[in-house]
Amino acid sequence: MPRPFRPHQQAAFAYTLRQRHPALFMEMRLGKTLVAIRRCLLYKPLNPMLGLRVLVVAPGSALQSWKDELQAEGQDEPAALTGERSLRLALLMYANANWFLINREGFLSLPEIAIKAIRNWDAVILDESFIRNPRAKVTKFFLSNFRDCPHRWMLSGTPNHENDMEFWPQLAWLDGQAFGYRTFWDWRAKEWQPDLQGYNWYPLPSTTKTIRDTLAKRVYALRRTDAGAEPTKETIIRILEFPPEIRIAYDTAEKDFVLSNTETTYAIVKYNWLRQLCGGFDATKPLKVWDGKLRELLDLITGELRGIPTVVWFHYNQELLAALNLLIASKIGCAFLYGKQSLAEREGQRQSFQQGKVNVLLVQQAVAQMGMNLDHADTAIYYSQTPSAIATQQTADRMLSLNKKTTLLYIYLLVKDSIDEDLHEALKLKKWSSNLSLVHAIKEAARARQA
Amino acid sequence: MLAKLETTEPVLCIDPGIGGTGVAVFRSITKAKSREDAIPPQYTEVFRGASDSSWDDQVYHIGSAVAGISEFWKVRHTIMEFPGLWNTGVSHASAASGDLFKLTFLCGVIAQAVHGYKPILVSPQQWKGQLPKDVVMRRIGLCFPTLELKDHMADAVGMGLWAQGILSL
Repeated sequence: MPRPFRPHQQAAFAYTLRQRHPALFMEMRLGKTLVAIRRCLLYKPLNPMLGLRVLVVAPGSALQSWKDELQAEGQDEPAALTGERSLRLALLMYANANWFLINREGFLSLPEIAIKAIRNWDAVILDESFIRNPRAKVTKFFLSNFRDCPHRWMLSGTPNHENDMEFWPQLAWLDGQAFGYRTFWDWRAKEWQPDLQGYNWYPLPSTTKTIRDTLAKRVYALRRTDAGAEPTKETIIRILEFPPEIRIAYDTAEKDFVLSNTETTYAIVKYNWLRQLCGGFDATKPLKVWDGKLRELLDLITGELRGIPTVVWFHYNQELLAALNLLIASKIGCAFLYGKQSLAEREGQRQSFQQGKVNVLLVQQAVAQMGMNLDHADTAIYYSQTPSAIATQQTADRMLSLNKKTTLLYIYLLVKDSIDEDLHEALKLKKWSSNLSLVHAIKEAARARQA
Repeated sequence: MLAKLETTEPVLCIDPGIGGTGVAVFRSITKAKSREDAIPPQYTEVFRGASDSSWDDQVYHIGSAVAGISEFWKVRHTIMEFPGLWNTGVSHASAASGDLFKLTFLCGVIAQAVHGYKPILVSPQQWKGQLPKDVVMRRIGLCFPTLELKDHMADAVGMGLWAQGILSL
């Protein structure tokens, strides 16, 4: 029984019928993948003997969602171009699949995906718009290849992470040019102006209008609010305090760039030390020196959140492993995802959580921030936050589902008067000013706190 | 290049500034294993031009002072901080007001003053990362508790510690 389209998906599908190279800028969990799959299945293959050949380029963490969606649509197993280069190349050349999946960095080891003689793609889909920076290798690769592919797709929930300049490469991927300019640099020189320092660029008033008008005509954009799919969200902040000796170590590290007799001259090293201290670890040894957050986590999971499906997000592996050991010692069933697992292992862990076999999923943010469906959970605990606004937003949206009516709960574990609070504030600021450098925001917050 | 600089000849460390150029002369540079082994500066000073003179006169005054100590101490190696433009309000304001160009000119004059050999230019990030001045001064204090540090001098001495590999342990 095919899954029915929702009204906004029907509208998106109608749009894709009109466009040779469609762009779906729909926020996460609004079902753009399904629209793309169903539309592609209607394409007439270039070689009817071989059948349809579609290349999907997506973040590694989103590949499984593609597999799931394709399976749900009754498609054969797609060829996943992952693993060793020789295996990838063999699959690319000989696999008799309709759908080929590759992660967004895959082109580095397998540039042959662009060779027409090897695969003449009927459609190439770029998921989670990663060609935003015109200087990046990945952008250059995709803008200079696949030009005679009959259908080029762009799927994204947040196409302009930093500023509106990021639209140019994405539209150029579709049309070979954007906003009337064949190169990004021409467009920037003529339609944008630098600030006094020459570092930031601002659109001319007419440019903003052109961008809006072009997007309105060219892409299908939809927010969750517009689709009536925005769930209620609640946020709880749990403030913890360091014990006195760790407080002293933290303050010394922050002020003097020294931790446990190890010195540094670099602010980034210091910030990492401080963040790991907040998680309970001395990064210079490395050693667990404090278990305040771990105890709080255990209290939550065995207390208020008992039996409630919960995702716990970590930035550092050592934090995740410490929490895992603690939960195992406390005889609490849990699944976990981190970078050292194979893709198959990760998927097994995710499935056991999604199917309700365990109620707690411990996740290292980098492995699951994009595309992974964790909608079994209603609650997310942030043991430590990642210093990226977009990654934070992405992790928060993993729990979303169109069918979900419950309130989503986000719990942040923050250490009082620490970089935890600064980072949390900075991430909130970045939502309002996407151009604001996060490092500056953290510095400002730290200065304010110290004052 | 500097990572390998070990010399038994005198080394001059300079933190150039029109408002005050800090200098520190070390009799030699070797990689120290601990702060107890640090080679102290033989001579430290801050050079300034007369405040009522024009900026270019001040630059030439500083240049000739550097030439003098370079000659006197028979300096054979110079480590000089080279200014950069950072993406901060202060740095841009300085560039916009022309101060950065004046400072760059001073660097050129100093490079000419230590004639006969090429100074080693290091960026602040290279030698002190993002350490604030007070932390640099505290670390110098750990090596040389009795050394009296005037304003602008700390960075010159700090560069010497960095060259010895003990600014950060």
